[in-house]
Amino acid sequence: MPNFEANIQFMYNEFELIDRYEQAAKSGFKGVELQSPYSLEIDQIKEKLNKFNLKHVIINLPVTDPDTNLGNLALRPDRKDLFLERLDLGISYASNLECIGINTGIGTKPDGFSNEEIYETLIENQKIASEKLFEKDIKALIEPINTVDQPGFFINTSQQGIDLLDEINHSNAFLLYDVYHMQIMEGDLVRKITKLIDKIGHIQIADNPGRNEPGTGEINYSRIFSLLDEIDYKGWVGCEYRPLVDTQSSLSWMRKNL
Amino acid sequence: MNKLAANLSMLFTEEEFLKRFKLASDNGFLGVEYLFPYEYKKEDIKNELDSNNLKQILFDFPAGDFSKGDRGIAIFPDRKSEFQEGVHKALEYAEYLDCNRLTVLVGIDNGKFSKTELHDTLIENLSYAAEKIKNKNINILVEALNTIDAPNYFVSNTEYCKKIIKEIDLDYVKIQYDIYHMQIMEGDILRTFENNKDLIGHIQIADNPGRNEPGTGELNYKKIFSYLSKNYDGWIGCEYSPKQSTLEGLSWINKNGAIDA
Repeated sequence: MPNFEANIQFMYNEFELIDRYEQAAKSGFKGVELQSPYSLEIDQIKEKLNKFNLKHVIINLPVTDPDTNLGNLALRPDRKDLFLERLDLGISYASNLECIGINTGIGTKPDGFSNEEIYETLIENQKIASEKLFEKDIKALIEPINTVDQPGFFINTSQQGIDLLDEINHSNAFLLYDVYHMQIMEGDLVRKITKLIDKIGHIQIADNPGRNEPGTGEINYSRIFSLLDEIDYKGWVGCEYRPLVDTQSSLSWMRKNL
Repeated sequence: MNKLAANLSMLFTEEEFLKRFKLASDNGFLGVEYLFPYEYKKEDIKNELDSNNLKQILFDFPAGDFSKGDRGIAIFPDRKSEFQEGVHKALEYAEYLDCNRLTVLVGIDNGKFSKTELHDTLIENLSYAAEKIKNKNINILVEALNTIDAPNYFVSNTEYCKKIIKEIDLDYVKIQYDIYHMQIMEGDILRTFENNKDLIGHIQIADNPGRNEPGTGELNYKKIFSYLSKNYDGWIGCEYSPKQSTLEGLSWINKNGAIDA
């Protein structure tokens, strides 16, 4: 079975953010991921990780500039400076928390620029991120996201993700393959995961439709997990789903699959 | 409750074609479908249907020469008369066998014609078939196939299939939604069904990858059947290649709640 870790942005919503580390450990998780740890102090998180023997697997880059409130910073040709500022903040968290990777975040297409300008900007920003993260031994992850939940998101399919990786052309840039997003956008999960496994730096899961726990939708997760063993995937699998009822009852799928 | 039809082109192939009807019936199926009846006498097929108390659910219009790589001829400007002859043949069999659904395989784009020519020919042929079949209580179904098994097949996703159906705009010309093909091409199975259910006239199933029985691949057919039993009252064609033998392959039906749901 793969190494499952808990996405504590989505799971344990019954608790304050800082208390979710303890809850994840109590459920038996050895790792966690959290999109946005930035409302917490690094030392505060480290204390929890040590106390509960947890690996902080990934975080996301901060996506919005706090002063201007501008979002989608990786895609703004006129504000590469803000992306770099956020990148530095993300790296300070990820390196202190000893994350394996950062989801570098891509975002929704900003108005006022051509697709070509935006894509050039994204490539340039990702190249810098890949190199800076390489120095810290942290993977740069790019995640295609479905357009049903996020219309206008700039990278939506695994092929677009691979094309972007080719443009970035850095050994430290990897695909974050989210099975939920990819089932919405393209399907053919087993074949695609098998084909792309060398480019995949992290996997996330949820069932579809609904983004709830495995077993609630159209994906046969038993087969996905057995595949990950067959192709010898050594990375983590992030449980990024909304529990259908509550977090505890949502975990029965995991016991069934362990 | 889901109504399952055995696809006799893929199931019970341990026996010759005319003997498969009895096997389907013996194993609990109430309906059968298959690619083509045309090399058999319609009287012989009718005899098998009647003596085994089976409904003829669906078969395909003549679709060219499969052994030469044809997967339909409906898109080709230079084969219109062949298509039109096929419509009459299909209609003759369908009326005799009380079959209410006929599927159009559109064909493989061989590069000889522009996309516009292929599309326009398809619309013309479908309109011809629709005119001949009007008022006969038969639905015409257009099926999208995946391009891994059938490279360059002209209609390979639900959206394009829907565009064609909308262009014809007749309530008896509908989408055949094959979950196996669409999982390969686009995923998002339940939402796509939900968004198009008024236009879907038939469903076929197999797991992916491998096109074997439900439970062998990446789809959660238990969930899909449970959904369909509440949201679909048509037939579901079991068009898969049994992983072992057909009989061993049938255990999925109970395990997945396909008919008990």
